[in-house]
Amino acid sequence: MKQLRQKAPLLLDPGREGEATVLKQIPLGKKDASGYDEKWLQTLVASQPQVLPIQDIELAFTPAVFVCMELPVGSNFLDVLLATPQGKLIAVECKLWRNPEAKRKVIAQAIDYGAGLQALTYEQLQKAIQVACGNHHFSLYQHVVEEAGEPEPSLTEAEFTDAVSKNLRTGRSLLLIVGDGYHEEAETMSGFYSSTRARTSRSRSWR
Amino acid sequence: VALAIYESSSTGQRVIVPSVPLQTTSIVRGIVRVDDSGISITAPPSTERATTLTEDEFFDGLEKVRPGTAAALRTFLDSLDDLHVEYHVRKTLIVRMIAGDLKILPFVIRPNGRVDTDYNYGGQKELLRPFFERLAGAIPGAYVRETPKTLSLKRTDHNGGLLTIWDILGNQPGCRAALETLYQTMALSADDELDGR
Repeated sequence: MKQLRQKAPLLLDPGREGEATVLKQIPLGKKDASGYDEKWLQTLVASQPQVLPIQDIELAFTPAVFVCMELPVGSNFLDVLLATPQGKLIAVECKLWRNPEAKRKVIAQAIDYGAGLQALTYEQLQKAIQVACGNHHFSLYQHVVEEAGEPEPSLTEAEFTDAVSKNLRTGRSLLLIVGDGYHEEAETMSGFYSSTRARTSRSRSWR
Repeated sequence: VALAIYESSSTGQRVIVPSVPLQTTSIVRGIVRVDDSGISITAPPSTERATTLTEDEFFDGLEKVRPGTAAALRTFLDSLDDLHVEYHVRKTLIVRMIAGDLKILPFVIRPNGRVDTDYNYGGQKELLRPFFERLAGAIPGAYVRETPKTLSLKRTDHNGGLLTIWDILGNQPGCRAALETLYQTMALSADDELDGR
């Protein structure tokens, strides 16, 4: 197994100064004794979307609330859809890197989801969400307003619909691949995209 | 996004540690060329800088404070490309100059248009002095405030308050000259550091 590039966190006990326990990483894989598999990851993101460090990626996509799992997009099903009260959409694909599919397909799959979302109108998106939720009266606007828990909605329903429609039309969504680490092949692919872009416009990525 | 799970061997408690190990900046369509020499992929020429939604919203906010600011600020910042000036938006717009291994933040612009100039620490004070002195000379009512560790630029007419982006945009030639001074100082310092290795 390739070494994951994650540093081990330490557990400090305030009662024992100078002592720390190094936490051991538990690998995610096929459902075994640990119980952590891709489905578990998907359910975790759906139930606790705040586990995703979205503010470190694109602040404009916060606060994100869960909308649905298994959203039909094109011929595939998106693992998790999140949305913000400002009408921004976040598509989440959960992948375990030991899954062979993850090695080559995951980035292409994420791009496919982006393209699939761009092809939808607001009405088509809402219809797809209703199918995913099994609730034909589901209102995306009402749901996001209630889940966000803001004292007053930041947008009216008409403004929210316009914002979602515009973001769909212009393809402005956040595509997240969530896994238990990252694989060097994915890094190579991502590096290719970045270098392709670097030839046309100066990269301003600071990480 | 990586969600790593860790376990304490003593208590059995488990912790999820989220991180962002990898991130794309933008994706462009490429032209795939297959000929006798093999396969090559060339991206089409692009004239526009890729932006994020966070960045767009930041500039929209400035535009609401004073119309015309967003375009003027983008144009000014883009004109500093030759001085190795980059900018990045999170909650604020961070302007960064890079020379060799040296990185300095000459300005940090807030959503309301106010400009912080004191985001520099760790022995950068003398490096910044010529820049701040020149910048103070370029902006009417500005002066250099010095503390034991830092230098910053303030305005006399705002009770020692912060500069604004309109102070900079209204005095662009002088501000650019000050940034040229900063780049020269940084480049010299970076060269000295290389020579010293």
